[in-house]
Amino acid sequence: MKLDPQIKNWVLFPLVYVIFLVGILKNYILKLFETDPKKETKVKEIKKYAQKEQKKLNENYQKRTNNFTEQKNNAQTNKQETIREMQAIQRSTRLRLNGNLISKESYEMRKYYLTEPQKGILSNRSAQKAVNPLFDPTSLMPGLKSNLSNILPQFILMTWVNFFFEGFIVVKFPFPLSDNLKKMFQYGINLKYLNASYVSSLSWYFLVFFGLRGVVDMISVWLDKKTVYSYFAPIAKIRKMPTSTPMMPPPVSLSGVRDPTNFLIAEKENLQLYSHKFSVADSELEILGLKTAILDEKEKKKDK
Amino acid sequence: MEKLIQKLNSQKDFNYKKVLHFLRKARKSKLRYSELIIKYGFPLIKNYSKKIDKEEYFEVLEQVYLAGLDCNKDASIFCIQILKEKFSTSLRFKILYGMFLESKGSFEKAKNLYGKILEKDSTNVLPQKRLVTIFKAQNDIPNAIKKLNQYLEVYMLDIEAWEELCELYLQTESYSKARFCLEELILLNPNESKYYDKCARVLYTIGGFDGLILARQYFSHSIKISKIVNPIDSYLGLLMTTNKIESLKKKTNQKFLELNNNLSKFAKEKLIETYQKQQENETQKENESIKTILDLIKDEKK
Repeated sequence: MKLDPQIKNWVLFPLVYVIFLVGILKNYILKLFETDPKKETKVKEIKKYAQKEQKKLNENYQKRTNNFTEQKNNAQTNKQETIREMQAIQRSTRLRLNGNLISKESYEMRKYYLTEPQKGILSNRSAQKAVNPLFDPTSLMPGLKSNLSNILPQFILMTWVNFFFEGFIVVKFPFPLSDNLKKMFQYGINLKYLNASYVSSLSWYFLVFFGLRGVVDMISVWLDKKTVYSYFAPIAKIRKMPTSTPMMPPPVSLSGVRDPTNFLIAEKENLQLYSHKFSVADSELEILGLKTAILDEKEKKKDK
Repeated sequence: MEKLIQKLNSQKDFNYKKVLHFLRKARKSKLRYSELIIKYGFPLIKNYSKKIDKEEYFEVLEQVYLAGLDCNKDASIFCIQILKEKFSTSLRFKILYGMFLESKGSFEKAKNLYGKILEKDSTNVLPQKRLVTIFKAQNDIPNAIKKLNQYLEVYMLDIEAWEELCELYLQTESYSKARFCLEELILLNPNESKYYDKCARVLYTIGGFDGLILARQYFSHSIKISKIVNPIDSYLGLLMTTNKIESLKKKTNQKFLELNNNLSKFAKEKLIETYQKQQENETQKENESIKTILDLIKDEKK
């Protein structure tokens, strides 16, 4: 079977050429998108300003009603609160571990302080603070955008190839291939006995698309050293996220512990289950070299 | 560490590598050899600044500066000027500068500085602690206590802060509060015998029958886990507590009294033993004082 040389001129090379150009164009389009966040922040700033104004009004109102509560930096107090909670969890575990070393009343006092129904740190946790950053819609936007800009041109190109060159056999590899690769190389063609080394137009598109990525990246870097959009672009963008979205919750809640609420509840239960027994009293007998407390208790039982 | 200091003291010429090594160790162990650091670190910075690695140079500068605040003003001024040129906007420098202001005695300026830092980031630990020290330096203990309590409300795992609060409470003679701090310290670091000992002392001071028994138990525990072979302080405390319990003459069961007597005897024997050992080693002068102590202990027998 011979392939028409016209196919080479009108399908094979144009496809490579178009994919290459679209790849580079995409980078420029992404660059345009990059300027968008700034606009967004401007909008945000305006919103913030409006919020501030409203806050001021609210505060004035509160002053009038003598209920003025200081809420200067909500984010900061939140951060402090999370630190406090984390420390409280640790303190509670310490209390469980070493609680036997302090007297019963001291232990109960601390336990009450931590697990008190309303004020206790372990039981005081409003749901609004536990906003998971992954569900925060604003944080998803940059990732979504870059994804969209990746998928859209790909989609358009694919429909174009599929529409105009459906069923075309474009290239023949000069070496034999196993039939298992038919699915990969002859996408869009359903011929049972066709040699696997023939490549269909759609498969050729995919091959070129993925093959040219590196080249496109290199060239676009060379064209503009500042725009380093490779296929790592989404990752790079995610890394940039914290700076681009200043309203992000503090990293304390991000790293290590996703949602302290569960930990708080679990720790509270643990602490409530723990039974206290003052163990320091035993050391009196121990330094005298007398029997240990357990033996002592056994003796008591015998006496009874 | 002591070997290192000896080596340093014995060297004839200034060996900057050895000095650097010493400074590094001092930084790591967080020990406060202010005078030594000034003695060796200050000339190091003055004369050998180009030989030190840049990153380490600034660390050494900070170290010498802090030591200079303790005992040598010129050194601290020298260091802060270099640091100011390089890091005038950094937070760490601001805190260092605040300490400089404190050492000069201009507390209000320092307070303002720390206040500004805290306004930007209220979770910063250092300025909060510095504020407490300012109150302490101004002899305004109630405020220092208040500030420290605010701090501990959030950072409740800070051993240093609990220790400080305990000292402050002891100064103001609020012993039950000091006891709370000590119990907190025991929870945080259960292997440190000094906390048990101190807690027992506080309990002894508070008094009351139950308190005394608790004190006795804590003294015993301190003896049990102490790393020193014969912790004289704890023995003495134990002896005093047992005697006090005996003198209260409460009606209790036989077993309890027996235990009390045994503990009293045990403490006395240990004390006599350790002092006698010391008697053999010490010189004439101290020998007499030990003798009197021994007599006193034996007198307690009655």
